[in-house]
Amino acid sequence: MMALITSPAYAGEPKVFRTLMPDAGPSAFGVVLGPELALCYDPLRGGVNQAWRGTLDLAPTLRAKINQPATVQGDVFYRETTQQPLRVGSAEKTPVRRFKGYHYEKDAVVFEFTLNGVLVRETLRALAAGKGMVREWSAPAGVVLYFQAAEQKAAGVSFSGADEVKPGIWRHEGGDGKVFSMTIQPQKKS
Amino acid sequence: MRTITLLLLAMGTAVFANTYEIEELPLPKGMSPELSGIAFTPSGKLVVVNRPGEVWITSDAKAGPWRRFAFGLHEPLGVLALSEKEILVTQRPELTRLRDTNDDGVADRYETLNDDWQVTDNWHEFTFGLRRDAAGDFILATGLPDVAGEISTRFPREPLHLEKVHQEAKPSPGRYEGWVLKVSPDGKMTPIASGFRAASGVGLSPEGDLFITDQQGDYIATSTLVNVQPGRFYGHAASLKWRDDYRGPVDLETLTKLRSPEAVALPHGAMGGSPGEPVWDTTGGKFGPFAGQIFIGDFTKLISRVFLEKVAGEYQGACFPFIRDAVGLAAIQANSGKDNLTIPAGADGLKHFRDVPPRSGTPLRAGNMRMAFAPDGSLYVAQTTRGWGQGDGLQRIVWSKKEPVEIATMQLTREGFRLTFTAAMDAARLQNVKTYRLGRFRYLYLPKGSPRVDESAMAITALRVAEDQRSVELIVRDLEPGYIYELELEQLHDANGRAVENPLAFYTLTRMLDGRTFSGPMDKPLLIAAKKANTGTDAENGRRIYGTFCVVCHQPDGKGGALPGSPAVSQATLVAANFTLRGKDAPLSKADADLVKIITEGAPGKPMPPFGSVLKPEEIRDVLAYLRAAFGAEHSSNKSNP
Repeated sequence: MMALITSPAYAGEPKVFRTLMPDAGPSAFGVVLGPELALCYDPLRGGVNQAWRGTLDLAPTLRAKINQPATVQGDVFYRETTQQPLRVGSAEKTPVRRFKGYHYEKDAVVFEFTLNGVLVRETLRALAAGKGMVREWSAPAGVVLYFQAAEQKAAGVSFSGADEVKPGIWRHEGGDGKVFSMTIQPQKKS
Repeated sequence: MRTITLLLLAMGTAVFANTYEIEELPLPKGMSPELSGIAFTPSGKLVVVNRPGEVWITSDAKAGPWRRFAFGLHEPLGVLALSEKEILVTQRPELTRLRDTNDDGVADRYETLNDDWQVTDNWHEFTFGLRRDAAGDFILATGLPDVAGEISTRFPREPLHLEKVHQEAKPSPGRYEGWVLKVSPDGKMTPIASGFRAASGVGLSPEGDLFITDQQGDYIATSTLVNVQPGRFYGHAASLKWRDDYRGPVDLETLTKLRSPEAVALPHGAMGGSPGEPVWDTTGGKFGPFAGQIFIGDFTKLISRVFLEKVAGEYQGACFPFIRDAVGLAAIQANSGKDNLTIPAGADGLKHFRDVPPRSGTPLRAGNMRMAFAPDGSLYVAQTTRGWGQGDGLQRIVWSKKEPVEIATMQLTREGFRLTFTAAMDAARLQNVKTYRLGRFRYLYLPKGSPRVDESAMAITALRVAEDQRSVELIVRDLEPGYIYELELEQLHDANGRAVENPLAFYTLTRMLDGRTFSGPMDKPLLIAAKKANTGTDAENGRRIYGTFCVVCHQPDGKGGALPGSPAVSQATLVAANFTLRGKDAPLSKADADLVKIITEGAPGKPMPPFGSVLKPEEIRDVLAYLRAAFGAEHSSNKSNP
């Protein structure tokens, strides 16, 4: 198994690898948020495809002429398959999503993309002691975001900064300093 | 004995003193040596990227230290350093701007400058580049996927077009796959030209002309150096569907009319297998006497040199080997497969794979896909071979200030070619027509690619030698456009007795000086191949096939050895691979029928693959005839063919 590449500047900080990821669109992201938390971020489907307690093995992506996706090392506690669950202006209409890049912040990675041309930021941050993760979205003033939350079997999910307008549909109105967040915490196995 | 050996070594070194030295540049622990991009910052710092997706910077490639600037990129194959704080890379899905905004020497922002083309996660969907033109736009090229691997249909940004309607082996399912693209500094993409298969090398001439190298295979009969003009189509039909004027499939005749020819063909085998990035010698003489010429690294252990001239308004010219290692043959042949139709190219095949020139010291590795001239005039070579042999790392080529004896230029004249040398040549040899062996051949334009066709020897009717003995014009009978003219010099040396280091040249004669071009068929040969006089085996043909498909494992001496990429080889496999063994367990002690079966179906439990779908039965018998002839057969009673 290939060890994860460490960065002197970000030792212990989140690390992002664009690569072949399982069950994801082309050239998705493997994100290591912390020592015991990793996830797949899919810029095409639109968001966190899955998150797991553990880490990411990149070796299959590097071995040969024809490579295979990275492998999940750990128990998956969150899954999301809806095409573009984050929407702009309307909960019903799938937006056109274009990826714009990412940057590192203290203990976090921030993905940027546009939905129907509107710039949205999604910040991913691990909770302390491997207790899960937080996703935060921010949008310009006056922009209304909707998120279609999928039912989770192995995680508890809570939202803040948004209203549940229909079961599983959350509404957030953007603005300076306003943040819409989703906390995902793995449930203990019974 | 030891004294004699040392003396011989010293003599050898003296005889083969290199005009260009190759230096090994050590890489730091923790850096993957699969280098896939190289550039210098305006201040002269070296920047490299590697296949696992890192960007590294150093002020001193010999002494270090190296600093990792970025990581986690998806197989970047091109890099452009605007400064130490702003570096652009081509990743598979996008052109990315990396920025260090907090001055800690590490990129903290990974910005998508453009991703208007679409990939599917197929292994062969490489994105190549990167160059910046005078207008500040970034130039890159996109490759086609390969059906040997999965073409993912998960979550495409827009519907994929998986259809293959022009008999192409490689499709273009995603928008603008197989194109050369331009991206403005503010991220707007403009498609430039189509028809590319695997345009691995993007280059800009000092005059600002855009060139691309493309790699041999379906529709691309041999690797090419193409002068890219906006709107043109360069041969591979898959990408046509993304043109605004595409109205549906067209036939081969229409494709032939649409297709623009290359500036220079790089004959497959003799001039490598898969060319990389073209770089222009802009060192002002620091790299020797080739100022303004082009150097192209190759996946094999070859760097070639290209001389261009404008004829009737279009670029064409000649290519020459520059540095090649004989063992490069193995690397070429490791790349053999069903889509490599012409290895070794031509009837003389293997003769081109000798050391050119004979060298001492550090040999050139394989995988020379990316190169850049340093401010000191040395040529840095970044190497990666993943899956096609072995050889990754960083080397540097330095001119030793010894004057090389080379063909400097090969120019078209009204009646033939003018060769200009880097030195005054021996007068007697220069004016002897036997010094020059000239032939020609061409490639067809077909969906499946093409071997050399219409090969013939050319008659040189006269020589016009310049007074300074530095150039000679070859007057050629039946000089016609549409052919690649292959020149080999026999025992030509300069006035001081030094032999021409690379006595081989290929001139791609697309246009005569008056603009006349080839008007014959591009889908069939003009010359009909003569049939063999008998139906028996052809050991010479077997030798060529052995050189193409077998030599990588079994080696030129038939003794086998370690397989590419397999450091641990079992004793049983070594025995099976060694044709020089004798005794009951020796491979050649088997009956012909058994050996034919092994070649056809492979050897169960051993690395020997089946060749039944690659070689015809008579070709397999030819190979067997060669094995018996070359490496000795113990069972003469088993000579009957199955």
